[in-house]
Amino acid sequence: MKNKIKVRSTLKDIRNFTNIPELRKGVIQEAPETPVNGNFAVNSIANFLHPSTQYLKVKQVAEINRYTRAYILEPDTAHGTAKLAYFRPGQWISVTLQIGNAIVTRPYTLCASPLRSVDDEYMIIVDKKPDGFASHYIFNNWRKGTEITASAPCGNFYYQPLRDSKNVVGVCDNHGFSGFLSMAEAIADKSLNMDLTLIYYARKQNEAIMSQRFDELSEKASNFRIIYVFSDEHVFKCERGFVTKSLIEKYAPFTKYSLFVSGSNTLYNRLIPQISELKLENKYIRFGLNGQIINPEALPDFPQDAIGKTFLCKVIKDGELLSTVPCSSTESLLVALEREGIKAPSLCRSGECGFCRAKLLKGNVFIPKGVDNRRLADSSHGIIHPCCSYPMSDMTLVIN
Amino acid sequence: MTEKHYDIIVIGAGCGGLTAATCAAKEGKKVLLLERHNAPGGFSSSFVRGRFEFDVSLHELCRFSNEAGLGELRVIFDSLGISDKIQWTTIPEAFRLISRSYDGSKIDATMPFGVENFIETMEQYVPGSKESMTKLFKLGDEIEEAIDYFAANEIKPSFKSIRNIMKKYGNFVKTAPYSVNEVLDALKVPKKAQEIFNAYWLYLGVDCDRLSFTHYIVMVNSYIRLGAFIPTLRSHAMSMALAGVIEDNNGEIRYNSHVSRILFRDGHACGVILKNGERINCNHIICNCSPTTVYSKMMKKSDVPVSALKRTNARTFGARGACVYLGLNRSPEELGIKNYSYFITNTADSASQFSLMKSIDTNSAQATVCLNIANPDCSPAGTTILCITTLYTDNCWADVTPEGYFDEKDLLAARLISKFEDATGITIHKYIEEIEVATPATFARYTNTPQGVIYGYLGDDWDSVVPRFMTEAIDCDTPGLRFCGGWGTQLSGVNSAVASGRNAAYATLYDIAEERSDNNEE
Repeated sequence: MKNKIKVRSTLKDIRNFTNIPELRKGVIQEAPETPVNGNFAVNSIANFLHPSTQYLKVKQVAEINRYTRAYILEPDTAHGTAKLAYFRPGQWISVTLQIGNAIVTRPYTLCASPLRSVDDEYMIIVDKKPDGFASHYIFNNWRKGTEITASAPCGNFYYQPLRDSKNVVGVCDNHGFSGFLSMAEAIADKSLNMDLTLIYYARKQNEAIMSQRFDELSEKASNFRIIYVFSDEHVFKCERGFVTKSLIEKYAPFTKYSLFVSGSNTLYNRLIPQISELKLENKYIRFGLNGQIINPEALPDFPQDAIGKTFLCKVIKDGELLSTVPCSSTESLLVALEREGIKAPSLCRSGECGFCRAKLLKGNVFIPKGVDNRRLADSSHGIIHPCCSYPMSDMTLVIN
Repeated sequence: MTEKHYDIIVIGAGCGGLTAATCAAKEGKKVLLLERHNAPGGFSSSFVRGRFEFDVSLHELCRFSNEAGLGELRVIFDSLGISDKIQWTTIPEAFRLISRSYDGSKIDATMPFGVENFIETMEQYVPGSKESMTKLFKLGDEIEEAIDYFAANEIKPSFKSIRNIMKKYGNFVKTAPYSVNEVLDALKVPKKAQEIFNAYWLYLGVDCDRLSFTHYIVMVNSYIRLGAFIPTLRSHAMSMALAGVIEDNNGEIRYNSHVSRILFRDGHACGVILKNGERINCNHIICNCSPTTVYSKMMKKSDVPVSALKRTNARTFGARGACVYLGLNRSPEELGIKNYSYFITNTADSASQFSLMKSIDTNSAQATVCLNIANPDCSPAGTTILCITTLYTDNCWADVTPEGYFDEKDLLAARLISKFEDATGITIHKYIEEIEVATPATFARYTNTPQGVIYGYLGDDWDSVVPRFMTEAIDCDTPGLRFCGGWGTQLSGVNSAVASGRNAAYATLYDIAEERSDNNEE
């Protein structure tokens, strides 16, 4: 049997029910017919911190040595970027470059303090590698006034006070100092509250590119220390050799500390066995962006029979076949697309950010274990990250 | 390049848009789904940090069952053919509420699923509650049945119509005009039992002095009766399954595609222009984004009907969201976490709590989920995924500066973590291996939602689900354009968004059929 419910009285309840539409219509009728406001401060903050594109201009080029230049970038107001996005020290921007027919991106870590971005300046440091592609282009083409298209600041390699120990031991070489430079700058100008001991490895003293600035900062800020390690020469007050477990322990504080590592693959390969001996919990070890894998065929799980093979990849965008691209098994799919002048989305080029997300309709790829950061449901639905996927057959790929 | 033409363009691939596009594509329409993000799902998504994959928003689905044909959402997923394509995880218990009662005493109540168990457990916490709680759940069944009827049939407030409805759904009619608390008082539910029963209000973001009883009881009744479920591989699995059905039915999906304008011809929607300048034509549009955004940014002023301006200006925004996603380097057993879902508030009086949630500093209320309790394999052995969600009932994040934003984020996380620790006596702050904090600005960034609102328009007494249903016709004042998702008739949440997506698709199919017969008559 049903309960008979009443809230006020049966009659009132029914009347209130029949009145519902009039009540709503009445409230709406009372409202003004002014245009709807669609501008909100929270959305402005979101757009300011994460603009889809930042239009920048080279403000100044500083030669650090023959192979290294610092580029100071400023907002390109004429193209619509009024202010630079604020960031956390350790984050990077991805710049888009049109090199010949190819459209490529490269992530560069921001190396000045975030406070300088408030004054309309970013700084990135570009290393001209002997076998480089983008770096050569930048060296040859970027000068004062060059217009640049870049992403918002991205990346998770930054000090997080709730996760990390306040004492951070950093390890870098010439390929990974930028994030630490930004941290040290921010420590010095007091916009970042952490203690950083940086162990900077180079072969020789004159190869430690930013040593002068790091020295100045350690003079200025008591909670930033720098230790140099040179493998090829003895230098007064510096360590000789490589970065090892015992060297890290020598300079690490007695209390808990976080270990931040950022540098070349060589540094990582040499350091990882040493780090595992430190017996630090996972949470206290953070790595900077891996960067593109240089020789995927050298990875132990790379399918050996695919080495030297070239395949064809049909590329579909917006429901239409864009082109058919030749791709080598030892080069990431993203690189193959870029070479053909296809504007494929990408940011980190390390398998971390997922921005290049694409759907593999047909065919197979090899994805190195350490860089497969796909969502579980993406993996089971044929989604891949072309920046770290290597062709193993002819294929059909849908890009966004 | 020739301009493309579609029967229906769906803007936004949140749950509502995905469902709308799926339904329309399955009916043989030529459908294009446009999404500005690079993945489907809207809030039903996930992201990876280190060894953890976090669900962006889903706590638990209601009106669902692991048995085919049971529950509204299950029925829709069955009809779309995705129920069996997704692996499901059962949520073990209803919730644990930790709060303070009106008399100052501490509340710490862990409630089970199953109506009888729930009522029995309530009787242990609040002796003397059994009779009224039994009545309440019986009423819940009747109202769920009624709401399914009304979702499919128009309610005319004429005397004749009401008399017919009264015969079958009298208790629905008599309770529909009232708030949760008004009806619980009328049923003489003891105050302390009300406090526990009302714990789910955080899922709807309206305090129980104003929250529609109908809306609330349908949700709670379904949770307690059918239990709750989540996709095992995160809600992204649900989004990918829907996207798959769209593509299997020749529908097209374009990601990274930002619609900047909706075009009208002779007062009828006829296409869109993308941010890159491309124009795409269509006969009908279904919007999964907010009417606020559509009317202010995406339509020419002269195309917006006055009634739409008035309606949009009359409404207030529902809650803005913030989340702290934690990957902990200890197992739940080691940490002492025993429950899946924690509701932790300062006061069990929802209206007072609603006020506390207006400012950043006074808000530490939370709905916290430990995924491993339901899904032990969701993270590597010896680790735990814990997600803390809070709501802001005002636009307080508007005052944060970009330079102060990162610090404010960390403060928010610290505040919510320490509240969890205080309430449960469980230490988590020492074990954080991964942490990500989403603020209203984060949600604004990823979904373009105004102010970072996650619950659409506030389900205020005059604008709750029953009033919206009863006056749905007046909301459709822009020919060729319909809305779905959290800003639609059914209000927010996955369940509502999916149902509204289905409704918007069928309403649009109906529009198409009607227009065709009009044209034939001419």
